[in-house]
Amino acid sequence: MNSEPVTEKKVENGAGNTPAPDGTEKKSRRRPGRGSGIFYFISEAFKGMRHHSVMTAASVIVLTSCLVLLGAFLMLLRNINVNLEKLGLLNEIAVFTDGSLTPEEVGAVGESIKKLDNVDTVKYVSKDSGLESMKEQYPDYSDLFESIKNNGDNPLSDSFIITYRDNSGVYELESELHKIPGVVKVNNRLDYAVKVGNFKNGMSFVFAWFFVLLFTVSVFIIFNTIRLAVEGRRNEIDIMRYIGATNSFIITPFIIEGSLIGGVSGILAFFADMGLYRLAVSKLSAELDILEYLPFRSFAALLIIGFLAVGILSGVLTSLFSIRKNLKN
Amino acid sequence: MIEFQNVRKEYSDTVALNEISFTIADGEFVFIVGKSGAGKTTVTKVLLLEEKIDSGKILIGGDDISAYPDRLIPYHRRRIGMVFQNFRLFPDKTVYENVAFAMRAVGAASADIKTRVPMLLRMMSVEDRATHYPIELSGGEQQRVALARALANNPDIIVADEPTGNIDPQMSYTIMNLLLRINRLLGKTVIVVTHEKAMVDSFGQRVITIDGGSIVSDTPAAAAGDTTPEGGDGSEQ
Repeated sequence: MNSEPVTEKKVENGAGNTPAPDGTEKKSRRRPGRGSGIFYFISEAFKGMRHHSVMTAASVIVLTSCLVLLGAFLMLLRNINVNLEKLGLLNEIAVFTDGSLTPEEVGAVGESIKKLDNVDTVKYVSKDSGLESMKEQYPDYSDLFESIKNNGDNPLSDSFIITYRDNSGVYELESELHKIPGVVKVNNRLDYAVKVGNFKNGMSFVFAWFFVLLFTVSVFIIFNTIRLAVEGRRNEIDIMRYIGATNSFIITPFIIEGSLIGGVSGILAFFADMGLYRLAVSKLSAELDILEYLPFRSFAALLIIGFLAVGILSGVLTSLFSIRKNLKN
Repeated sequence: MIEFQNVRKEYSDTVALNEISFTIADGEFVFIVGKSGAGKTTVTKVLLLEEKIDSGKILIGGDDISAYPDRLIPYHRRRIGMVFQNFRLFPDKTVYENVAFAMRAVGAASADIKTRVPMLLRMMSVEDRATHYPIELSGGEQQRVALARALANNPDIIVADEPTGNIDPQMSYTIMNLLLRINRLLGKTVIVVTHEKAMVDSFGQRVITIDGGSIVSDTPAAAAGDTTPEGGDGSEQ
């Protein structure tokens, strides 16, 4: 007999050299890798999905549903954050100058403001542009504002809109602004800004934990669905082991299957979220036009990349974990 | 040569193999018989390294297979063609694909597969069933496909575990005769595990009887005589 010690190389090159079934002394000319290339594995993966179409469909549905939920949640969170940030743009102080100041003196006030600590930006608003803003804000009285402008008796004064860096130093800043010659009034909305900021942080914290929880549950469901699919093919895996297939040969089609299921689910979830989001925005913007709605394109790249990454990764990892359990010798 | 040297295998509360020793020469045909639970299937499991032995040694060609690391197990299995009671064919592959798959799994070239698979199917008289799925075949045909698959990688040893357990008595003799032909014409070492004592006796081959995990008898093959009973030459009945 040709029962020589087994080595990987020896077996790959043809361990048995006993006569071929037709009685001829035919040496096997095996070349490792031939006949089991990537295209073969991909075709096996597609065959596997077709023959186990029910479990494949179940995996895709579960994975897609989880991804749609995660995506919807992410979009909701981003929209809430944007609206809260808009509300939170209250780190502004309006500084009004004396109406009798010359343009040079107003300019000197602006320079003095810029030199103060905790000042981030300084925006000059002339009394004419202030009047224009009011005209836009109150279109019903546009005639009134127009006549004031034409008569040259604009009651407004030149002002500066300042943003600051640190809430805690705002009262000190306010006091410094009052000391500048030519400044007659300083308005800040610190209390409101702090309240909105706290609410936003609280919301983000709760949503972040909810997101983590939802993601964990999704991964658990996906894992169990794919694990069941792999368990259902245990006999197939056993046969492969008995005929001497290596673990990588057995695992590869399952990994490809997992990644295909994940990829398809990611794409389906992307389009489902796109449709749902556009529908929701069209309904809500008609009734809640006070809110700002981000366009879907601002999520598109994040969603498609995230969905494909999460889908493929969860498909591959769950397939890998499930099948490795069945590969014990 | 296959050598079992004082091989012991215990499961949680059962001694499956109680320090058994025997030798099977190259090209020999051996029946291993025993009642259900006697330990005969454990012999095949430890030979395939599906189970690790607790003590003793199993040598093939003088090489201690029980010391093989896990990574060598698939390569070890490629020199043993396995035939099962329940055939264990891939239900979603055709007859041709089932046999070809065994070759693909070891990285055989496509050209080799195209040449060898039809030849094996012809040898097992199932070439006209090449495009059929296992469910469309009789038990006997499925077992012949399983035999073709077992031979696909030209192994040195064929192990058949209750190969006639799921087929009718007439076909059982045909399968046994096919195994005998494989042994005689191809020089393969053939080990057949079965509990069908009457059929075993009619073949006049070496019989190792196991009971309670121990070998109770080891009867050598009849020196000469007709060893193709009832099934004739092994052709389809």
